[in-house]
Amino acid sequence: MKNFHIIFTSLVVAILFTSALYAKEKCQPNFTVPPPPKILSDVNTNSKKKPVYVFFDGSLSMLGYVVKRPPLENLFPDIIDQLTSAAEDLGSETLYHKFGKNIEMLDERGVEKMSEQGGYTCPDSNLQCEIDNKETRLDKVFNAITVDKDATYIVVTDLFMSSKDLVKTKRTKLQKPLKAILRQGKSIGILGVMNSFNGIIYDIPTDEGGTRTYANAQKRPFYVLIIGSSKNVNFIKNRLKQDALLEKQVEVDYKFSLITSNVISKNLNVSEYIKEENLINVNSGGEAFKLHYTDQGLPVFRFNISQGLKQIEFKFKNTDFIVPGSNDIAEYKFEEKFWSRRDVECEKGEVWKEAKINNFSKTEVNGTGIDKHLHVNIFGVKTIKDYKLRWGWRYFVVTNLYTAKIGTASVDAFKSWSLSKANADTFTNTEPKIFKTLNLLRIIKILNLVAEEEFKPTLVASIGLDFDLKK
Amino acid sequence: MNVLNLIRSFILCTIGYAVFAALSIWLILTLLLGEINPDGNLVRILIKLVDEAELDQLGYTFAEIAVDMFYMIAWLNIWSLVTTVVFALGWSLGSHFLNVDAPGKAKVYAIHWLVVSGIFIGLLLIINIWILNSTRFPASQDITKTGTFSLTFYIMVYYTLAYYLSVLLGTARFARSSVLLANKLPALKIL
Amino acid sequence: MKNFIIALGGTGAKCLEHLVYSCAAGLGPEQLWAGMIDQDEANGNISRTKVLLSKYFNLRKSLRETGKNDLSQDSSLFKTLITTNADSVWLPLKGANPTLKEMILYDRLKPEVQGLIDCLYNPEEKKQQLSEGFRARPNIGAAAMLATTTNEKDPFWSQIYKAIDQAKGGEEVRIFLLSSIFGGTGASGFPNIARRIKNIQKEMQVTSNLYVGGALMLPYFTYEVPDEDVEEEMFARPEQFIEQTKGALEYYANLFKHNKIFDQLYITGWDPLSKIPNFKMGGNLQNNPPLFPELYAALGALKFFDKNNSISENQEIFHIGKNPTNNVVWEDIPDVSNELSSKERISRLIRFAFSYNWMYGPSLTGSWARIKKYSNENWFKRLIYKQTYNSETKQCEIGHENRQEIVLSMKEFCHDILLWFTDMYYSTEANSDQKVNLLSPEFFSEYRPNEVADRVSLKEKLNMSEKKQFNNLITDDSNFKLLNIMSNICYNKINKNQRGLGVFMDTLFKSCKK
Repeated sequence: MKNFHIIFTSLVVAILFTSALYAKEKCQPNFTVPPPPKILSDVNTNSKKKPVYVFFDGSLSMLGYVVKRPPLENLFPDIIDQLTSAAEDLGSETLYHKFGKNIEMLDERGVEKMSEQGGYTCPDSNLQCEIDNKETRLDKVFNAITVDKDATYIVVTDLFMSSKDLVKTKRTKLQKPLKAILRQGKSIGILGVMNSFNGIIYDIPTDEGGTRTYANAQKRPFYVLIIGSSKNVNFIKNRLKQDALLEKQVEVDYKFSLITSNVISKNLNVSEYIKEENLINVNSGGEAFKLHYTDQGLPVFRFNISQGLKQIEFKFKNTDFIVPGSNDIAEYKFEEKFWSRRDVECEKGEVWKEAKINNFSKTEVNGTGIDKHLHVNIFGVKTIKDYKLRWGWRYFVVTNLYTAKIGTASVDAFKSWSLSKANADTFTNTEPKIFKTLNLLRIIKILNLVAEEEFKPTLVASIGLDFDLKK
Repeated sequence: MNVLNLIRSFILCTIGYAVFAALSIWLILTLLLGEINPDGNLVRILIKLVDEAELDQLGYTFAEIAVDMFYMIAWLNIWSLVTTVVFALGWSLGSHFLNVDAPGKAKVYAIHWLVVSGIFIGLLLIINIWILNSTRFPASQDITKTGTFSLTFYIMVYYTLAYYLSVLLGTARFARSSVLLANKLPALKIL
Repeated sequence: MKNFIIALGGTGAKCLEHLVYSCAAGLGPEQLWAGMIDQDEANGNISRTKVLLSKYFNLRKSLRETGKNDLSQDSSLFKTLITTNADSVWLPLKGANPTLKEMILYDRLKPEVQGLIDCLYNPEEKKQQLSEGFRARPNIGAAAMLATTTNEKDPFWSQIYKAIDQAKGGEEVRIFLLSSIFGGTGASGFPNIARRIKNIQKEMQVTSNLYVGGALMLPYFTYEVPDEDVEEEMFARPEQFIEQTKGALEYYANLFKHNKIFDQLYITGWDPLSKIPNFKMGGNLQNNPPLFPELYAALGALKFFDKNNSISENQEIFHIGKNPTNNVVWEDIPDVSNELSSKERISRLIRFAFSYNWMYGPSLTGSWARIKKYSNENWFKRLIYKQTYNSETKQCEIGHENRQEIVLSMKEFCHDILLWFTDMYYSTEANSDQKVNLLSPEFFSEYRPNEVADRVSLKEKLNMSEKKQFNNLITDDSNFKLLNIMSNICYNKINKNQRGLGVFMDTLFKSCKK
């Protein structure tokens, strides 16, 4: 009997203690956290099973890339070579094409010829060929790309497009397939390589309204467009970079940009990625500091701060969640709420009160390149003091960080290689040795625009804060 | 020193601040213990001191922070009242020990009175600042700057008046010339 | 009760001086008639006492004017109504400087009587001109006293006759004599005047209600006689005082064995004798300072006059002396009665005099334009302004001539009080080991023993630190400050029966009580 009493009492005490602990632990308002975006989690990363389509621009203006111009190094053949190799490695099968006015398939010999002059000249007055290599119908190529949405497409071209090809229906023809591509969550990688050039550049617009040619250019960029999943795009790019662009005798001038409607590579809540170190202006060594993840995957930081602190600051590496090489994020937005209660111990008959204030956080991006960081300042729009948060109270904040607008990194990247129609004649008259690409920026902006149109705000991270504001 | 004179001063001084003190004590008790009508004048006055919009932004109404506010105002009055009583009685009783030993000497002690009064007003101000601006009372966060200024102003005026009236009456007769305008009091038996 | 006091000789006058000041302090009876007897009319001490009596009388009169300036019956200040004759001094031998020979009509005496006179008086004594007293020759004085008649019509003696008549009518009459046992006038007059009174009593067949008392001063001072003053002059020799005293005491012992002359007799002396620095034979240069033992005689007289003093049928002889040490302290001063503490009243009077002389008197002196700066002070408002306000002219009349007269008279009287007590202090201490621990006058006075006229002078004004020493004025450890006085005059109740300046004077006097 005595033993029974002891056991019973111990049980009761244990239950009460646990309840109390549980009750204390559970001092949170009712809130919901949006789930991480599916699109990212559902991306099929196994492209090995899918084919790769390669399109070579066969127009006459491409001829200059395969003619040497010593002492300048000609990278074009090597890149073609490496490109085919990478393509072969990437896909289940690689299908090669040549395009100009029309698209035609290439066999192995045809592929080989694309590194030679023969790939661009017409033998024995082949009329069809003469007609064909006078145009660059990129729109047809893009149209073809939509056929197999899981495949990877590679286009090698000089991207020298006249203005008339970038307006009205022709523009629409260009945009429509691109939209379809981006809507699928695909990306467009543009790798530009400044290469030696020994040939004629055609269809340079003049101020009078006509066109002219130019044969004195020694260098001119060509482009490799890689269309597919961002993973595959980066695969091809990295292979080319590694095998054809780096470790040359002379440093290669190349640029790369990834255009996509979703630049976020992962949600930071997935796999409990957010750690104590991300909270940079609150002492994690403090007594009351604690980080735990809720059942919904929300990381909740519990700590004390004083009124002197202006805001609560998190820091994340851009490379951790932004697709490398992409246009980056120009703007972020928040969906956030906070609650308060007038006691910190959650013992009195006080309740959590939801504040009407929202949009109290802001972001800041610092650094460049791989050192770029995103600073998330909660209560950073003003300061904690300006929001009149009361000391002695307890606060609970749920902040959901979304992308709001894609950046324009690609524009900046390729700006220096672009030649506008208005300046073309003047530029050509200067007898440049390095020739630029006509309307390059317009093309890239069109691509960006399409990406923006297909852009949907993506949840980057959700963060929970549970803090006491001390005197 | 004649104890009777001291008692007389004590009584007169007390009469001087009695009305003020009575009102103050009523207010203190009401704020601390009484049931306050939420639609009453007291609440109407106190609401003007806070920024309701700000509270609303945080999801609160005045009613929810009212108790803390009452508590703070009550203590503000307690401290102010105690200070007033201490200084009033202190001066009234202490005036009996001023060395007014010859005709015309009482005026010299006007400086002393001014200094004491200045210290009193300073202390009253410090009390107001401490209670309404420091971290002693959570409700100090709810009062606006204008509200703080208004409350401080009224408290200062109210208790300074109480102090002045009590020292006017309670100061030793021979030292009355040291208190501003006190020498205008008629020489009555009861005074 | 009717009271009469007769001061004989210089010593008597000095004792009377102490008595007048004591009456100002409220130690005296309701009423007192005072007279002095001295052949040396110009005697400095007599003159001084005469002036004092006049001042007292006038000041009291102006402060007992019903409806105007009235201290009222309840006030102790100037309580006693002291009256005197127009000439308060009675000369036993009137006329232009008679000699003893002329006075006793020696030439007309029978030879055998002449022979007797020759045995009793030497040629110098017979030739001695008596206008400046009897030069410590009681034998001369006695003869002179007896030679005169007690003329009922004489203004001096008419008072005595009236007094005895009042006793006959049922009213109690007390007569007191102040005198020294040594010296001339006093030694000779004391027993003879007393017997003369007793004879009148018998003549008028008054058997009750008449009491006679006396204070007899044994030697209490001495002085050095410079050699140049010795030649061919008869004067009181201090070395003879003790001898004379011894003889006188034997005389009185025998006298009292057979005759009840005095109902109460107060005897006092001093040892060692106080040394007076100046020797003057007589006249207005004989202006001896007040000495402490004289106060005993004065207080003895006031005790005699006190209504609570019940006089026994048997003759009572009281003697008093101070404590055996060299220090004179307040406890050495006897109370007049259980209700009247001499120490309290006298010390109060001195404080009153001090505060009035240096504090309040100057504030009340002058025109209204000068005085009005105090008009907002509580003490002024309640004690001066209200009491001297004329509702018809709507003015405060403190600056008016009649009020100012009183203010100045009081200032003068207070000045005299301070001089009196301070002189007594210095003179009693001078040239001796005696320490008079009654007050500390050094901070407000100066003592110049070689100057007879201005032996003691008071400072015109006192500075702050000097005023602060007020609490040490009276050596009684009371620490009574000027502040206490100021507080008291603001708070003490005003007597409803008082009017005008009487209000302020009495309130100030009451406020000086510890």
